[in-house]
Amino acid sequence: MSVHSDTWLIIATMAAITYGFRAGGYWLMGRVKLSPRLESGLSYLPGAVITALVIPAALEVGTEGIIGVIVVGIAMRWRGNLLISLVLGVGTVWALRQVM
Amino acid sequence: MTVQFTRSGVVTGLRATAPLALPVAAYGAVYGLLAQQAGVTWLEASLLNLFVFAGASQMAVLPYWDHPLPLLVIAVTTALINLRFVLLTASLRPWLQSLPDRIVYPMLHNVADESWSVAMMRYRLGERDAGVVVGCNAAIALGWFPATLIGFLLGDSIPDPEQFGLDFAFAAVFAAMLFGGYRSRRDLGPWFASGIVAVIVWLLVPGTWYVVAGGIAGVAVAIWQADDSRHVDIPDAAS
Repeated sequence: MSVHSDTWLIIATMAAITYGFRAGGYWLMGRVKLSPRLESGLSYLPGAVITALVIPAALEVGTEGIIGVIVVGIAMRWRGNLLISLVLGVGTVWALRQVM
Repeated sequence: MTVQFTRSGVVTGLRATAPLALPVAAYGAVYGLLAQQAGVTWLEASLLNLFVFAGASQMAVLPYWDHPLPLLVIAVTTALINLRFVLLTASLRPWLQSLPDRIVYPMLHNVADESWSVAMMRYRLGERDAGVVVGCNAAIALGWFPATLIGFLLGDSIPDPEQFGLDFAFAAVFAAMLFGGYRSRRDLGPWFASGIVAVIVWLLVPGTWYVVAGGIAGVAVAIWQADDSRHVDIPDAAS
């Protein structure tokens, strides 16, 4: 139960970099003067970022990941419930792995 | 709708993100196990959980965990993997900017990808209570912290999350939030652009540049679409 002497610097560095990014994005958006055009464009940022997160994440899982995403999408449009969608998606991937 | 910050918002966020507790905990336990095997002490892992709170980067630096620790390699790895946070919190600006900085800046510390996506989908559907952001992110922390201790204590006897398909859970959350937030055909252009750019950059460039590139490509297409449709009245145009 101890902290190595050189670990303090490492933890502080990792914490500073990570918080710097977390605070930095928010701070930066407060600096720039947004035209209505840019502002309406930026309303698409969350969806674009989520798309950028999901596709590589699914590809990393493999073919069953792509099928899983489709199942989650259908489940979400059907019920709009995260838990149900997660269970069906993860269950699909699990089941496909049993047979593939 | 005005932005407010309420306790019931925090509860809403916790509940909305609760389904994620299990997969997050499964990977928290894996982190505890791997950290212990890499020679990270329990106290060190706890400090990392508390002050860094970014699981992917905490995992990624474990292979370099030999004393004396290589500061530069660890710093670069952390930066590459955590770069994406810039866009996540940038997108929180419209929601949180009417709140005082002394409330917002501490809130930003525990923003996580999955909980952020849950919060942003709710924002898109009209949520304005900033407490939801806190609740969503707190749910991830509550799943992660205790699980890392379990991984530390149980060691090798913890099961592999992949065995239960839980490695897919994170892609599943993002997919759910994407489809759940779909509003009109105007979403498709930005999403399509983001997806293509993200995959190309993901294949070619290390770190999370692909998230940044995809996000920017999506916004660029959204602006282009808006410009393009200025002379055409599209009734289902998203605001």
